[in-house]
Formats: sequence, structure tokens, C-alpha cells
Amino acid sequence: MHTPIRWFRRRSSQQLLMAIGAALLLLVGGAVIMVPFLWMISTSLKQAGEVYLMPPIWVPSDLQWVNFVTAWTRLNFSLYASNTFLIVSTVMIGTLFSASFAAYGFARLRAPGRDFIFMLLLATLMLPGAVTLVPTYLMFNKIGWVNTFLPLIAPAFFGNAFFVFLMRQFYITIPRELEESAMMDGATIYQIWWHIMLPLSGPVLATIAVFTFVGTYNDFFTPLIYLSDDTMHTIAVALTYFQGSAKIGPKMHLLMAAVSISVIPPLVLFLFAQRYFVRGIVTTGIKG
Amino acid sequence: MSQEHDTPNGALNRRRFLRTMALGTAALAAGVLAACSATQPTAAPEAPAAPATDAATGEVAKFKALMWSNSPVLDENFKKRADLFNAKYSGKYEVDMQLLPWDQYWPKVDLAYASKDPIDVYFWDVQAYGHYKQDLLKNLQEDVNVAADLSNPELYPTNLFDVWRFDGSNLFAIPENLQMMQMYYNKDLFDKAGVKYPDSSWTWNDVLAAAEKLKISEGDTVTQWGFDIGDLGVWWGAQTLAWSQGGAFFDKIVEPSKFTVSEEKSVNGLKFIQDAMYVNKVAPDQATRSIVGQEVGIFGSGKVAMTPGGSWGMSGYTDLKFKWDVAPLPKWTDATVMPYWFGGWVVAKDGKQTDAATAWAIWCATEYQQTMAETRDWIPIRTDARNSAAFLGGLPAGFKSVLDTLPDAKLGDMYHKAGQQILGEVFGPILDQFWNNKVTAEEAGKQIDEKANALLAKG
Amino acid sequence: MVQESRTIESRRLGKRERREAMHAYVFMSPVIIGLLLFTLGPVIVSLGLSFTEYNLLSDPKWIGVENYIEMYGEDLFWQSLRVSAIYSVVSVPLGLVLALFLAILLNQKIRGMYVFRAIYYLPTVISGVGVAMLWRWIFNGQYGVINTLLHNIGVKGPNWLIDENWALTALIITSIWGVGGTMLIFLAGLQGIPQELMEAAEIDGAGRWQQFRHVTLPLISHVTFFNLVLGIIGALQVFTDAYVITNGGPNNATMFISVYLYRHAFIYLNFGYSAALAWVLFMIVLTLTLLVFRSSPIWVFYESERQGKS
Repeated sequence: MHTPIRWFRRRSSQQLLMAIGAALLLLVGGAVIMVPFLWMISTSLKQAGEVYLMPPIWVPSDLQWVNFVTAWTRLNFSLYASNTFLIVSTVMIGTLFSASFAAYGFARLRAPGRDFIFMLLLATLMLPGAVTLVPTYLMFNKIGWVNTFLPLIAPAFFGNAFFVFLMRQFYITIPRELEESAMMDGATIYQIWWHIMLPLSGPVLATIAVFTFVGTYNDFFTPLIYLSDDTMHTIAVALTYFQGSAKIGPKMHLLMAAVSISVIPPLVLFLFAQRYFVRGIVTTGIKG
Repeated sequence: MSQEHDTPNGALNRRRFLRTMALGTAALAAGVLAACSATQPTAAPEAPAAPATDAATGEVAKFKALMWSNSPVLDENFKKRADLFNAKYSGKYEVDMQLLPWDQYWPKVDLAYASKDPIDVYFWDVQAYGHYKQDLLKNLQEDVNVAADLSNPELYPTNLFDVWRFDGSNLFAIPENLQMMQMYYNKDLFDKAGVKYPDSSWTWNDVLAAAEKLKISEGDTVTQWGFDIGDLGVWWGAQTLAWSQGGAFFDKIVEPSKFTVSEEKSVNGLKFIQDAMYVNKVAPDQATRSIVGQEVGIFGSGKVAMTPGGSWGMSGYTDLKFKWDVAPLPKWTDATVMPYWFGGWVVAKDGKQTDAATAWAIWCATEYQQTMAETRDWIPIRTDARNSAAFLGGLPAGFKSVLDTLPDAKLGDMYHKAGQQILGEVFGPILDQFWNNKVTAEEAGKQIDEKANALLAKG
Repeated sequence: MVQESRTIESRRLGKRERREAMHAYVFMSPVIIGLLLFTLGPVIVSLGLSFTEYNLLSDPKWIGVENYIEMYGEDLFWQSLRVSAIYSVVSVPLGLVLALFLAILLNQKIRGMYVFRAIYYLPTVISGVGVAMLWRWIFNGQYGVINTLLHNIGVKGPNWLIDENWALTALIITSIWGVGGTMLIFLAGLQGIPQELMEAAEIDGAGRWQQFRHVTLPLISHVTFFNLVLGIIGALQVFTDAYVITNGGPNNATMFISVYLYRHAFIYLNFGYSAALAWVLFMIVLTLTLLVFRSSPIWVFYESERQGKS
């Protein structure tokens, strides 16, 4: 374990102990969290015959890297990746804009019916998707959007309830003084939103970006319902093919190899974004 | 996103806001109307695009065929099959073959019906019987009559088709392949134990006796099982034991009116399976079976000497490290009744290209049969293709003896509107308890009959 | 009519208020349009469908409240409510406490902490179906990974997924594994606490626990609120895991209301009945959420309040 305590000189030995204790706890918890992943990677490197052994083995006798190649080709990765990233990036732009914009109205501006609309919006979170699915499908079908990316993309531009809520909660924690002084300097409300609120919201926006990415990237139900042409499928849909049929059963080692590959993009994004992702509101200079 | 500088304060005035609201309301109304017109019986359906304009106009009739995804190789061969068809009917018909994961297959087909834009031709399973009941399927009998071979008992097992004449005389689906159930056995384990291989003369008691000899224990742990219940753990598998005694789980396959799982022959069969696990202890119990979870795995692990399973399992066993073969299911005392299933195509009555779609279904069941035999993905429905050396040559030696039982086989399905619900809400949970030895065969049978008959009565 | 009363109301507002309201509507316009286009229409249709017999294949048939009456008399419906309730009551508080605890640990200023953050967040990144398949694999029988580990410490693990007494527990464990999202939101909240407040508390002689109790908890109460609401909604709607891992079994022990609903919608094709189920589920979630909202003035504390009313 190599987690040097940076400023132990300033801290008492009790605090040092606490930090070490925390690190130890995290290490144990991290190991527990990692077990399923290790099991996944272990399985993904096995040959078919070694998958169903009892008791199970952790290290395959012969590492089957070829499983990744097979899964990669089967995933048709290059095609599905471009579909996926087209959808995901558009959805991300739409979500970030609409959520941050709309939330400002809910957080700061008073208007008759505002709370009602907000409650209505939140209520949509509670709506089981399975049931709006059919009417929504019929509607999109009617306007000829089925088998295009539009049913997956368009709704993102109209404020996802979850993220509007998230943004609003964060806006509320921001003190009003900044906006008031800007208002005094003659800024419009839109300028305030753009020049003051948005820069302060970096970490929240990063959070939403990652959530949106993960959610859209992993969603297999919507693409499957709306896209009937298999050249338009996404990575998540391709994954479901590895489950196998009811009558033949999954190829567990290939499924696990495919899942391992599919985890890489969101993982990379997260590793890049995570510094902003959790950066505190303090560091963005609110206190000033 | 550069509106921040040029948005004059208050430019968006009240009127514009109201206009936006009005637009939104109009859109809402349109949306609701659109959705309603698709669902309200009173709304006139969109003028159904005049079907079967295909050949007349000289245009290529493009249509969509749907199948569920099985495995990379099988899926690939479906695409190749489509290419063959398109080459043959070049300039006339063109099929767009799509494969979906099983879980999404039926929702997709159903949604297509809901939006009045049905999939032209799709692969059969019991769910399609519901589509027949709603009068959504094309009656294919005329087309079968035209393709004379399909009615020739010399060429096709036409007597097996009868159960698929749901209205008593017409075919609404064209079978292209079939599946059966069989006893898989691990030859290496039999050789090692010096036990004779199973054959068509075996009874289920012979299975128990052999399994006893094939079981190996180290202390308390069993390291090798003589038998695994395999697909006997599914309702249609369990039912074969009742069949072999002359009983059944319900009175008729199409539109059953009464469940008879509590009758003696059904109970005997169920009890045999339960006892193999919990009394004779020659087969792993449900808890132990879940170690592997997939039937593929239990037999594939090489720790089980024999297990009954569907013929579709064979393709998954091609790369096993031990020698294996198959035999017909054992007899109860003097007879065995094997289950069979059809694979085939149904054509949506209101599809836009019913003629082309029908041509596909017929072609799959006739001309394509020899290629199907060669790929060995499916068991061809056409008898000479099924018995050809090209087909049997690549399969275990015992498979021929399984196919020989076909004339006496019975369809392992149940066709009823409430079928899925009966299986999901009655058979599922009660058999869960039964396989875990929590209820006896008598109790399970009684509960199933009670609840299933109640669901039938509800209609 | 609503429009009418709103007009009257806004007429009573002063000029400044009117202008503010106008801006508010502009800001909210994406949401308003989205609600009208993509939500309200389908929702109204689904409400209508809940009073019909509809199998997707043929046109719906009006049957009044029959679906709701049938639901009331259906044992499996009550079983599904029970399963969803137990799951929520256990997994939501457990998840919140664990997430907060982890967030506090991860908020330590130790170099390399981002590695831990990444590890704990990792589970939420992976695909729903993929991870569910993985879990089925992990919980397998007595030699599955979990039980192998339990065996190593001398505990005989249960047969998780086929034992009706344990299947639900298994699903709760999977939900706890994915606690990273909640944890991260807590972490963001914790990092928003002004350092000088903690220092001030320390100078006042507050111990660790007191700091946590009187400074940290109130200052992140809005985050807790957020996580609680989402937790309730998420728990009552959990689907993919339940569907892929146990599919309602064994013996209906994991028949979540969402699984029950899905079956009726897409497997039994009782779409009208499933629409009625969805509305009941919706009402339950809505009621619970409103209760939490109602209770929020008691325990949720916003920073702008702390700064004094402006």
C-alpha cells in the first residue's frame, strides 16, 4: 500500500491514525468491490470448458486472449461504436444544455405554476417506463421517427427530470450575493446564468456528463425498441446478443469478454472527468 | 449557445410566451390524438397500403423477416440464407433478415402489430399462437397446396403438421425444421464404469440402476453423478413421463380445457423425477444443479453421465473434450412418447408484402432444406434432407434412432391465449417449490390443476 | 380554465414580478415543452389504457375499473408489493448509510484517493445486462465466488438464487454494490462544506462525531434529501437486475412490481392491466416522495438560508 500522507506534520498523531484507518477500510472495501470484476476478467480469459468447473478456478490454465478478439468481431465494435458515440454525444450536449438552463428557472425565478411544473417534472421520474413506452412508441411511429436515432436523441433536449433536479439542488446551495451584484452591474438574467452560474457548476456538469454518458451508453432497451435495423444498433444492444437464446444459453466466457471491452469507454471517461466530477463547490470560488 | 450577449432583456415577452404555450398545447393535442387514433377502435385505420402490389408493378418487393439470435454461427447462416433467397428471386423479392435477442423478439413483433406496421414474416414460437387468435396471421394453406411437395407424406411428416392446423384444417405457419428431446450420455464415463450405453430398449428404471453404478462419491461429496434431470425439470420434459404412460398434463394441445397434472400418471412421472434427486439420490438436487445453472454446463462439465435434453443442445456440445452420444428417451414400461417441436414461419396477414413473405416461408421449407441439412444448424423438416448423409454424417451416431421415434412423437407445446400466464404464474412458482422438494408430487399436481384451471376459466 | 386563472393571477403581480415570471418560463421552456411532448401525452394515453383490455394486437376495449378490481383480488399483486417494499425498506437506508460512510472515507486528503474513487464508482459504469449476468454467475450455488469466499472463512453460504429465503437478499447485495453513484453525490456534497466551518467547530472543541453530527450532516442534508428521493424511486422501479438475475423466482420471492408489470405488458400481453399496475406503482412512489418532500423543511438545510435571507 502506497498512500503517503501528504501533510502529516500539520496533523496530530490521532488524525494520522484516522487517515491510515480510513485508507485500510477503503482498501478492504475496494477489494470486495473488485471481486466481481476480477471474476469477470478471469472468466473472460477462460476456454469454454473451464468456465463451468467446480470448485471454480481463478487463474485460467491457458489465458484465452482470443476471446477478446472473438467478442470484438462479434460485437462489430467499429460500427456499433460510431453509432453509440453519435447518440451519446448528442444526448450529452442536449442534456447538459437543457438541464442547466431549465434548472435555473426552477431554482431562482418565481413564477405562478413554477412549483407545479417542477413537481410534474419530478413525477415523471416516478413513472414506470414500461407503460409510457407503448404510447410513446406509437407516437414516434406516427411521425415516422422509428428506425432513426431521433427518439433516442430528441428527448434529451427537453430537460431530463433527474438532471434538472440535480442542477436545481446545486443552484440552490449557491449564495445569491454573486447574482445580485452582477444584476446591480446591469447583467441580464441570461448573462448571469451563462457567466456566473455555469462556471460555478463545473463539477455538477461533469457529474451530469458522466451520468448521461453511462446511462445512454448502457441503455439497451430504447435502441432495441426503436432501431430495427441491426446496422443501427449500439454497443449495449450488441451485448445482449451474448446472452444467447432461451434454448442454447450464454457463452459465458465470450459474454464476459464482451462486457470487459464494453466497460472501457465509460471507464476512461470517468477517469478523465473524475477530478472535476467531485471537485467541491468551495474550490470554484463561491465563498468569495 | 451564444445567445448570452444578444438576448435583450425582456425580448421574450408575454405574447411570445403564450405563443410557445399554444404551440406546446397543440403539439400535445396532436400527440395524444396520434396515439389515440392508433388505439381507438372508432378511428379509421390508415388506408391499408394496398397489399400485394409487388410483382404487378415490376418493382422489387422488399420485406422484413425476423428471427431471434441463437449464436454467431447460426445468425450468420440466417444472413447467408437471405442472400441465397435474394439471389434466386433477384429483381422480384428482397428479404431483409434481422435477428434480435430472444428477450426482445416478441415485444418487437407485438409493438409492430400495435403500430399497424407488422413484421412481414417472422419465426414461430408459441407466442405467435396469440397472433393467430387475434386473426393477424395469414392462412397459408392455399400456398402449401400450391407447393405440392409440402403435402406429400413421402416427402414431409405431414401427419405431424395436423396439430398446427389450429382451426382444424388450415396451416397458419409453415414448418421448416423440427426439434426433439433425447438422452445425452457421456461415453467416457460409461466406459470407465463398464456400463452398457443407453439405447431405445431402456426404461427409466434402467436409468436409475445405471446411474447408481455411475455415481462416484468421495466421503460426503459426490464427484460424479450418474444422471441429471436436465430438461425433465421443464414442464414439457416432465410431461413426457406422463405421456409414456398414456397420460398428459392437459387434455389437448390446442386450446386445452382442463389441466390434469394431479392425475395418477402425471403424478407418477413427477414423483420419479423428484425421487431421482431426493430419494434415490442418483441425480444432483436443485441446489447442486444451480452450481452450474445452465444445462449446457452440467453435462458439459463432464461430471454427469447422462441427462435428457433438447436436440438443440447438440450444437453447444461440439467442442466438448469427452466422447458423447444420444439415445431416445427411455420407456416408462413398454412405450416412450417423445416430444417434438416445429420451427417455422408465420406471415402477417396485414403485412405490406404478403406474397413475397409467403414465398420466403415456402422456399425455406422446400428448396432451402438441402442447404439446411448441410449446415446442420437445424433439423430439416423435409424427410430426405433430414435422413441424408450430409445431415446425419456430422451428428452423433445415436441421433438416427432418436429421429426414428418421430412418427409416434407428440408436440411439446401448449396453445392457449393464457398459456404464457399459466406457465409464468402457475407452473413456474409451483415447480420451483417442487424441484426443491418443498411439496410432494401430489400437492404440486393439485395446486397446478387448481390454479391453471382457474386461469382457463377466466378466459 | 387554468390559463384563465393564471392570467388573473399574473395581472395581480407587480411589474417586476411579471418580468421575473416571464424569464422563469423562458428558462423552464425546454422542460415545459418536453413534458407536453414526450410525457403528458403518453401518460394520458396510458391512464386511458388502464381502463381497457388491450393486448397490443387488437384495439383496446373499455372495461372501466375492472383491471383495478382484478388487481385487488390478485395474490401475486400483493406479493409483488411486499417484495418491492421489503427491498426498498432495506436497500435504501442501507445504501444511504454506506454511501455516506464511504464518501466520508474518500473525502480524506490522502494522495492517490482518486484511485479509490474510481474503484468504488466502477460498478455503476458497467452495463445493466452485463453486470446482471455477472451476478447470476457470482451467486451460483454453493461453489459460487461468494460462497467460495464464505467457505474459506468457515461459513456455509446459502443457495442464493434458488432459495426463496435468500434470493431477495442477493438482489439487495447487488444494489449495495452499485452504491458508487450515491456515494459520489455525497462526496460532491461533502466537498462543498466550507473548510473554515469544520475548523471553527474544531476550535470550539467539537469532537469528530460532534463535527459530523452538527456540521457535516446539516450541511449535506440537501444531498441526503436528493439521494433519498432518488433511492426510493430507484428501488421501487428496480428492474434489470430482478429481471435478468432471478426473473421473479424462485417461487415469486423476487417478483418485484416492475417485473410483474413487465410480464403482464410484454409476455402475457395484458397491456391494460399492466397500465393499471403502473398507475398504482406511480401513485405509491408519488405519495412516498411527497411525504419526503413534506418532511424536508424539518431536516433539510440550504446554504443560502445559512447566508441569511437576502
